[in-house]
Amino acid sequence: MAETPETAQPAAPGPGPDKEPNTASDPGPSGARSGSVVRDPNWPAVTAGGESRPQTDPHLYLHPQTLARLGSFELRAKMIVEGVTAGQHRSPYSGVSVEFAQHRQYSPGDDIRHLDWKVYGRTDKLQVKQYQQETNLDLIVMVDSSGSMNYGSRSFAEASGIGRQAGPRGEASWTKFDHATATAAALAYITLHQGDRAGMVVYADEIRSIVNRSSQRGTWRQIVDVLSAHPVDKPTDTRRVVDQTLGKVSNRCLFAIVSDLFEQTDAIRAALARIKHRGHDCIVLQVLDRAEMSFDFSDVAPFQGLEGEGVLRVDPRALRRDYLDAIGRHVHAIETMTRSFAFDYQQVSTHDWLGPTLSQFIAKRNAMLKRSKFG
Amino acid sequence: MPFSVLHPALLVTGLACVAIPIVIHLLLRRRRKPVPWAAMRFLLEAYRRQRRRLTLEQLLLLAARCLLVALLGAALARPMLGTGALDVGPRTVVLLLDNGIAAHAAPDGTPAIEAHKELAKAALDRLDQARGDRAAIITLAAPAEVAAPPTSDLAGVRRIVEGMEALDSATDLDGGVRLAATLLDDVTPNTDWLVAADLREGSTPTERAMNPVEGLGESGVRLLLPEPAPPLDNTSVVGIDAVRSVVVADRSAPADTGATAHVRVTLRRTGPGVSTPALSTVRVRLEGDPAPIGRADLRWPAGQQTASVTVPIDSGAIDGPTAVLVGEIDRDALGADNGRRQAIEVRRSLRVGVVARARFGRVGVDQFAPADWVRLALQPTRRSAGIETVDIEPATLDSARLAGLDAVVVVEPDAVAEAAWPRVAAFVQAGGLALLVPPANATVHLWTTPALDALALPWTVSREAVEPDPPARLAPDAGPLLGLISGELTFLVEPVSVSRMLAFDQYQPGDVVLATSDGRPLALAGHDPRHARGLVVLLAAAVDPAWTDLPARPLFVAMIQELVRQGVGLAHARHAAVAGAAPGVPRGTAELAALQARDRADAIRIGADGRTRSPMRSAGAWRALDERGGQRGVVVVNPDVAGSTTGARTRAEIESWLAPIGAPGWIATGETAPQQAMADAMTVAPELPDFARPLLLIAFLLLLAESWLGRVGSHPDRFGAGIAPLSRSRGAGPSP
Repeated sequence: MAETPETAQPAAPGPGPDKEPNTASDPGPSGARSGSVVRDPNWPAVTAGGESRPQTDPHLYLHPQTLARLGSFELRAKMIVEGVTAGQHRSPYSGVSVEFAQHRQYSPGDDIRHLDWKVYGRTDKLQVKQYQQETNLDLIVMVDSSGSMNYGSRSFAEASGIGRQAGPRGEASWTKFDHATATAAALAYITLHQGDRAGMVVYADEIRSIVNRSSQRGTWRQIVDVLSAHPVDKPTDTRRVVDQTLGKVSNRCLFAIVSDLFEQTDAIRAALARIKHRGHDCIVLQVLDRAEMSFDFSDVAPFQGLEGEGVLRVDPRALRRDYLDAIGRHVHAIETMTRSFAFDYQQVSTHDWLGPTLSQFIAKRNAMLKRSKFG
Repeated sequence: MPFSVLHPALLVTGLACVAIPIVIHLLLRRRRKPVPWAAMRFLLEAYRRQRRRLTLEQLLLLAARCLLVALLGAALARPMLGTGALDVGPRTVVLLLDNGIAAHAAPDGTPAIEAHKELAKAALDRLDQARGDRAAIITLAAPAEVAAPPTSDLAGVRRIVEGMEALDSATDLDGGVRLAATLLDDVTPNTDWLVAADLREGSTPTERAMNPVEGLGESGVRLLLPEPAPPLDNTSVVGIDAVRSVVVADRSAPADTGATAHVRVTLRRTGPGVSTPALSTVRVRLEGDPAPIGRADLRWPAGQQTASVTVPIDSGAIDGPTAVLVGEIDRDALGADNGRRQAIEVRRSLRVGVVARARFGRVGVDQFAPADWVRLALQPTRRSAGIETVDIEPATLDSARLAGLDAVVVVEPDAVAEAAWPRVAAFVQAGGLALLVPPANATVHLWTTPALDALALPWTVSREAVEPDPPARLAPDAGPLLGLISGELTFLVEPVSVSRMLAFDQYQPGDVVLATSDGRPLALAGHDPRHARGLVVLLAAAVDPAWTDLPARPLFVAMIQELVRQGVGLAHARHAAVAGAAPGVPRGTAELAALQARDRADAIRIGADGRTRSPMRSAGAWRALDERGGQRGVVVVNPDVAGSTTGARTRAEIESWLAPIGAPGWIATGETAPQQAMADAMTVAPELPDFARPLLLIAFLLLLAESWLGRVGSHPDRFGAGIAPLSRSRGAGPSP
């Protein structure tokens, strides 16, 4: 299977210096560019070999306990995916396999080795046996790095759980972006751990950085490198980013959108509709901070938007009811919309430990898959 | 209805403080650090819904806070209906506190100064520093002085009052009132002058009219007086006079030649006890030694107020050239005037210079020249002790020869050069005695002009002698110089006649020592009041039989002896004063150190005018020290007994005395506690309708409204069931 569409460059790629991890790793069966890191040159945090390059530490994103908790889980595709290697997921291509799928009428050109002679003997009709071919899963994790993701009310020291007092960029708070990267890393880890391919897209108003799908050993390191980026002061444009990403994907994939989804619901609906239309599966993980859900500020203060909305000096207690009403309606709309596309939705709080949340979510998902027609 | 406030300053301050909430509002808008916020679009959405309501609430909240501050300021300013409220604005109390000798009176064991202080503190209790009240203190111990100018530091004024002690000078209420009048420009119209005094006779000298104070009536100042204190029995030592202030005592001589001296002590009784007989024991002792060196009893007949007693003392007990005698009686209700001091000098002999041309050879009495008569009078016998004579040629009369002399007798003044008289004047200025006798043979006495000019005496003497016809007889009256022989003077002057004498045209009656029966002075004594501390005695008749037969009479010896002895004593005993005055000091004195003090830590500096720089209000004895620490003499200050008379005054007498400064208000201190008495006396305006409480109530209600508006009204989560945070239950999990 060719991987050509997936290795296309993002909108403003440039031969970024961060290709080195890819070139250093083995090209793998998907081609020379499989698993390569393509990064926006304006990406502020990561530079090749520069002193400002953060020290990428997988444990920064995945706590050992989280890894231990997720290690036994499998992330399964809900629909039939078009994998390139044999794996545990169903493939639309019937082929050599041990699991019988169905009979179909013989057509000239079919391999006569697949003729079911027993049926021919009973019915005098040529029927070809089709077997369920098991293939691999391609996971594309889309991590929102817009300005709104750079908010967090939880201290980094408490959230990291491994004694770190600040993040790699010196931030003292555990932001939604930190939580989103940890979630994305967890999903990628599970995927790679079960032998499937994982890719990563970090975006805001456009794709900022991308790791092409790969199941090679170096992919995890590349993903972690990409996740060590920093949010930008730009709003989210999920529809545009989804369009850009779908342009690079030809086979069916599982998309995981990790974002606070603080944008117009129409735009999100359009993005999910495109994913649905292309036959992909999608998991929407909405990352929210507890302060955003409670808005329990007491002092009058100027609130400054992180995506250029300006400064608004308000008495938070006076606006709390209306604020919670507005954000509640938005979250409910996102959830409803996601389910209307038969996608999965999970709200993730930055103040919750990632392991229980993800494990519970994946366990539920797997259980439902088994009960469904895809099980 | 007119409207006024009790504390306008507080009202203005409160109104000015209205700006505080506004300023805080503006500062909070500027200085608050922005809070980064991701879900801004939802916050903006909520804000757009509530913008009008929030703006209105903020304006209401700000207005409520401003109004709250303004109401508090207005309430504290005590708004009242009626213009009378202005009369009880900031108040000033000038405390005229008597700390003079009368304040020592302690009929019940507690000095009167303590009652005065309690009254003053009660007045201070009525003042309110927050209202802008002020207080001043004027102490009445003469001369009165401002102890604290008008100040709002009431605690400081209270400390001054508490630390005040009674002194020994008289009460100077007149001076205190005039001092208080000088503060009129610095006080508010609502001013009280509170006199804290017992108002007995000693502190209200009604015999001296009170000086009027201009503008006092228009200023609205009220003079508050306590009830006059009841009379009090008091005996005072009003005088102590050593018979000789210079005691000539030769300790090597037998005891009967002058080892005993006499001190005359004068006592005075005041109060109701005057009408009854009494006995006073007078003791004389030396300063610093409690053991008496003389004692005498004085029996008071009923009704007698003043009496003297002569106390013999053992002059041999006096150790040293100078001593301070203390005459005292048993302590009574006013103990400060139960003793009095006098400094005396103890000398082995007096040195007297006789200025006359020398004569050689022995002469008989019939050939005696005036100088011979004088020498004979000074040393009547060969065994006479106490006076040594030194012959001085008139032409050689200079400072060197005068040095070391106690007195000089100029028998032939016409022989003294004109340039020598200033030296004689300098001798007198230094405390010497000069006895001038007219020359017997002169027809025109030109010497009087340079002599009297140099000595700066206010006397005018005729240049030619007059010859009374018949010869003048002497009057038996004598001045203080001859006081010791006044009892025998009647017999002594009887055989004396004066046939020629100089006529005095201008003199002070008090200067007359001895006069003829027709009133012509035979001897004058005086000194230049500006400079001289010594004494000049001028005889009008020459010591010659052609002028008078005085030299041959017994009076002459007694007179010359007394003139010299008493004259020297007077010349040396002028360094005494009563408390409240600035005493003169011996020449060359730089400072006064307490007689009993070993060091000079508390020495009193002497000014350029030869007096202490400030009045001395405490009695005592001081050593006069020069710059090198050498003793120049002794200065004594005695209590001013004029202020210690303890007879009672009536209200009418005091009001009549104080009439020139206005009618006083009386403080009912009789049986009422000082605090209540002052409260009654200082209440000037009726209580007017006070709106402070209603304003405070409104302010309180406004505070409640502000709290509700600021913390509950605009925050629905604090009201009712509250607002639950966004639930996370929904949307958790995959789609079915």
